[in-house]
Amino acid sequence: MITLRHINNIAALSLCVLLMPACAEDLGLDGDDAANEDSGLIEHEDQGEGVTRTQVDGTDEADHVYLDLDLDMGTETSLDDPGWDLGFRRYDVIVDGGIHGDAGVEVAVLDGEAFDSLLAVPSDVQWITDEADGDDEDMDPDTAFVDWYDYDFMTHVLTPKDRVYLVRSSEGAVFKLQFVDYYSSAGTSGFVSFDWAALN
Amino acid sequence: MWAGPAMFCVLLVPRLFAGPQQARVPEWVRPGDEVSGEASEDERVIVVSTGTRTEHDAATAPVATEVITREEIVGSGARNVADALEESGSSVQTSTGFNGTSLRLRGLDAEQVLILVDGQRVTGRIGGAIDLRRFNVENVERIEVVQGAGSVLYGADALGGVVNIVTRTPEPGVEVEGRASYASRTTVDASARVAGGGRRWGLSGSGGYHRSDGWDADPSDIGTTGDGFGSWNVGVGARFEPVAPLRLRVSGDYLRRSSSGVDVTSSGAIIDRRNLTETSNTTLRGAWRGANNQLEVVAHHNFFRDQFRQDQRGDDALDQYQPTNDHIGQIGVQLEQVAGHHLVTTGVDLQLEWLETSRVMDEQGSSTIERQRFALFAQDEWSPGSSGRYMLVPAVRVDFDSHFGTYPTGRLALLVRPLEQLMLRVGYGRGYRAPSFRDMYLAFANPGVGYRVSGNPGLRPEQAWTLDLGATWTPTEHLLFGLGVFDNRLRDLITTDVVTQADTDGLQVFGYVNIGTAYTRGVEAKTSVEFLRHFMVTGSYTWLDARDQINDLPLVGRSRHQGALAFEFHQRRWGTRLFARAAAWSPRPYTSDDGDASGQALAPAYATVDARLSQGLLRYLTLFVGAENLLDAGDAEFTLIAPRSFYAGLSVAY
Repeated sequence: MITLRHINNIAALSLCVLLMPACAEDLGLDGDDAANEDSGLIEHEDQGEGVTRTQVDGTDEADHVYLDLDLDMGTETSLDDPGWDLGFRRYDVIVDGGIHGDAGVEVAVLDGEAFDSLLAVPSDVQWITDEADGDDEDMDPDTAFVDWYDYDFMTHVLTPKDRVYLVRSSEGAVFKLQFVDYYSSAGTSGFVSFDWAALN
Repeated sequence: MWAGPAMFCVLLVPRLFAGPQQARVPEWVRPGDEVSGEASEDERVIVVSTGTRTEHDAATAPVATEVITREEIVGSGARNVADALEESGSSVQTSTGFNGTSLRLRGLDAEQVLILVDGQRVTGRIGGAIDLRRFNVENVERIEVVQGAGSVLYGADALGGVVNIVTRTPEPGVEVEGRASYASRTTVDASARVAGGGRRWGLSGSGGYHRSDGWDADPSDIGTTGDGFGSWNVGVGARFEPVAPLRLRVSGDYLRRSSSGVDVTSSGAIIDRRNLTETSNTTLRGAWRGANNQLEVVAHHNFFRDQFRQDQRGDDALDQYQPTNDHIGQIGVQLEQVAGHHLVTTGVDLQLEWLETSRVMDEQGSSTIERQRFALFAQDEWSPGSSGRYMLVPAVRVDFDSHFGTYPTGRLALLVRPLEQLMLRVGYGRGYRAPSFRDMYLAFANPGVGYRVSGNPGLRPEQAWTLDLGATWTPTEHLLFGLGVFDNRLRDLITTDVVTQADTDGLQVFGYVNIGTAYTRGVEAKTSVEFLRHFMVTGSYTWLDARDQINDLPLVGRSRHQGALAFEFHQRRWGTRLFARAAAWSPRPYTSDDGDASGQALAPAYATVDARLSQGLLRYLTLFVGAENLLDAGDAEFTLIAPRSFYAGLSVAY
């Protein structure tokens, strides 16, 4: 015969069942794949024939990482240091010119040029720099590198355009530059890679 | 696996071959009536309750209810509810994705279908869908599927239909059951249930262990297609009837499931993904059955905890850990009263839900969101005259939701039986899906590619008006024809749209808005024939027209044509049962850059074939072998079906 005591036991068992979810282990995060904290935000790789492949860790959402092309193989610098040429924050690439600086850095877009075969500055290039937002649909500044990538709305993946840029640095030197990737070898976004070399 | 003959009856009649004698069953099972246990097998009534919240013989219920019975669940070899539903009616379509296995009813999405256990809603939607694999079947008595709007009885989320998983009650006597099987991909399924009791009490306990390796439909990369998993579950139940009119029932269950897989993102990142999910249900139910009335009180608590972790290989930038705790508490009071030719049901539902997850944030910046609902409902099952050939069922309900306020729903159902062998049904009603916590409070940002998605607390519910017309004709006890037409009109569908081109951080902002309008409509046809005593062939076909009216495009992922053909040989005296089932789906549209001018392309058609043979031995034992997906259909992109597999096992039932 079932009694109230049995009912109480059943209720207690049910309560145990109710509370069991607290028993599962906490998965948490291990953080064991963190990038080497000692490494810098800019890494270079010599590609030969004067070409350098540079990868900039532009993952910081607040601040740009600044690069001075005129120093040996390009050097990380800061906004306060005169002479920086390019700044990287995620997909946003700026120059030390126009609305972003006083060093007069300029950019030319060379559609249809091959990076490897470009050995000298063409005579008829049009130099541009970072400007305030113009009469267009968006509200973003019209930077010189505003459309260096294609964006896939389905996959949310950024892919560099097959395009060569010229950069006239703060010291007047001209470099050819082509973006290679927006992702690190681990697939993390915000790591802008590009090939560049000085032109005569 | 094959769910068996009951799923034929899109329009009713789960006991296909019981024949015209079903017509002698009362239109409703009056409160206090005993409806099972004593009748012979051929005469036993299959009771359903999901369509009206009152008990009916499934064959004569005024709201069409598809049933998968316990016998069919066991016979099909289903391990969980997803398996049982997978190959049931042609309008029930299951799909597997990152959020588990969910179902689509008549072209409506999983988030527009309400999942119940013993009439109580369950929580734990991931990406809008309840993973049906988390419901193991060792303690399931039957599964009822009601298509069309069911909000008039169950409130929010029953926009496109209701699936009610009815658990087993310990009956007098002793029951001992066990089942173990081994299959391809190191798949192990073991479950057991023990129950016993007397006339006034009963106790039961059940449990199971299940595991399987994952699978990969695209070996060209390191990513996997189907998750490997391991799970175990336990459950207890008790029935107590201290005095004849009073029935008390308490039940509780707990499940822990761990699944894992490897993803490769579009950017090339390799992600080790794992979910550790726990669920528990506790239900207290009391019913007082008088001669012409019944009062039932139910208290239910459902807890869902999911720990989602993704671990990026070679970096931590994409690592995520998202624990989610989702509670739902419900109290329901329901009174059924018979008055002349009327069975009037009135009731009150109270629901409390609270969710805690880092993915949402309310206006105050809290990641704990609460919701309260209160509802009143009334339904009249009116069977005019003494012929029992007509039943009219009007019902109304008003929900009061703490987020979007008052929401009324209604439904009118009509059953006409002009001939003993002919059943006609009409149903017209309104359903709604409440905006989910994700819809209202999602806070997700992907600054790496410049966008974020924000919830919208001002969302209204999605709504649908659904019309069902159906006819079932059983000219002989060995032959059945069913034909149905449905039309679902959906408004205020919640979808994402660009809210701001650039926020203060320069990110493009997407938000949820009520702008969607769509319809799904179609025709369902089913037939079955039994011959030479032991053979049965069944066939079904669904034509579906599902369209997004805003963009004037077909709704993605829906096949216009679906069909199934099943064959069964069942020699009861030998204990031998063999069945095979084939199903086919026509191409489905999907959104693609490589598509036509409308931006859509078609995923290829596909077909599946399953087969199973079981043989009873030594009275209590059954050996079984089988194969699933014999055609090895499926791919990594459109049709996520586990590859061809084989299994064998043994079950015992005492």
